[in-house]
Amino acid sequence: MTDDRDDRDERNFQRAAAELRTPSARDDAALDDVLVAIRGEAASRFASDDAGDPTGDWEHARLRRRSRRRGAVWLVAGLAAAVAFAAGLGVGGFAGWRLRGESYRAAMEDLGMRRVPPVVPANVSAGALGVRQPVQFMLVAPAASRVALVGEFNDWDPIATPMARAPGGAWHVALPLADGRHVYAFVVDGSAWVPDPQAPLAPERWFGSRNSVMLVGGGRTQ
Amino acid sequence: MTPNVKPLLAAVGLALLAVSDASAQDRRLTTRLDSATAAQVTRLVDSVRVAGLPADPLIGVALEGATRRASAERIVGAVREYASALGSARQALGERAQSDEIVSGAGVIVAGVTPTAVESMRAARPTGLLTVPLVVLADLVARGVPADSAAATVADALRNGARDDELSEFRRRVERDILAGAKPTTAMSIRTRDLPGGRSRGMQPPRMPNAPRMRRPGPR
Repeated sequence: MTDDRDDRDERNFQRAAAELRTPSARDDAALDDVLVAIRGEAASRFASDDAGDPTGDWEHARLRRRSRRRGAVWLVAGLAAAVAFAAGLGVGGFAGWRLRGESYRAAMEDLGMRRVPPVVPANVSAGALGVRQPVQFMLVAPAASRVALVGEFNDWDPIATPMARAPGGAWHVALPLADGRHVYAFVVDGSAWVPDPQAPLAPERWFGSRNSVMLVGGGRTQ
Repeated sequence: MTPNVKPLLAAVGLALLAVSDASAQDRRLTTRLDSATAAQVTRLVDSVRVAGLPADPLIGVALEGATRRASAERIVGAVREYASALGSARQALGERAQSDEIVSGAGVIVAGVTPTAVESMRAARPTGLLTVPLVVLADLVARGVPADSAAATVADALRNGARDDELSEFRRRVERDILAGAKPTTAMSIRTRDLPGGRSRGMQPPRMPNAPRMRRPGPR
């Protein structure tokens, strides 16, 4: 009897401790909803673009629909700014993009807990339909003057994919990627390579700082 | 046209396609690398392609090196090491392995995981894709978990039927604990309890300093 009560107390204690350790679960859920909305909006926009292009050539379609996509980018930018503020990563959260102690680490950790999963679930992949899946990249770097996305998908060209700055210092860009494994990094102010704090690290470390890995389509090979 | 000629024409067409593809990739290399380095990389890329291995990642490594202004020796050395790891990964993962699996396997081998450990992961999941488990393993090693214990943990999880989403969540929790200050090995060991079959393997979580200790009253 006493043992049962002890076990019950222990279970209750562990449950309470687990609740206390879980930070802002409701915020996570709300933010997930926002991120799902962003991705859903972008996905439908890209999908409709491709559907109207009989060749299925996304690059060709992109040239013809630049103005419409610009609107989508602004929409994503606005939503990303809202996400950044909702996540508590606004102005003054930390001093810069470099690792500067607890405040930055806390902000990165905070961002890490409120992120789009780096391994995109297979059930949202459109790769099987021949449609590249738009993937949202984001880096919080308020002190940066410019940030670019580099990776295998753009031949590691730091000029090819500049990121847009949202209020609060969140830099973002949406890029259509085929299913599969993609290695990438952010280039801050033209020289500093930063891995994505939201994604797994790449094991290869050939030239200094590490890169990140993203699996689009849940790890299926196209 | 006789039926015997058709396969020959098809083979010639495929060969021409392959040659044109290789030329395009060579152009990518020659515009970013000096001619000697581009030639060395191209030879490695061609040998990997002939072996039926994914060659694009090698070009990616060379282009990344060029962007980062690495020396020619370093670029060629990285491409050569990666090419060797790709072969080891395919041998460990089996002939039916997909290209993303092979590339991910090569990555963990470069990071210090033995091909034997990769083989044990394949044995633990003989039919399903191993891309996500290999990415999780690579991340653990990159964050400081010793390669052998990380590989053993992931292989154990696979043997116990861990799904990809469970492994991804496991990785995320380990990462969070490490960012919060936990030692990588400790973080992995504790979070192993959350994996299928992990309750008996992982360490017990440390008791919180201010937590009341449960006293078990005995006979007085």
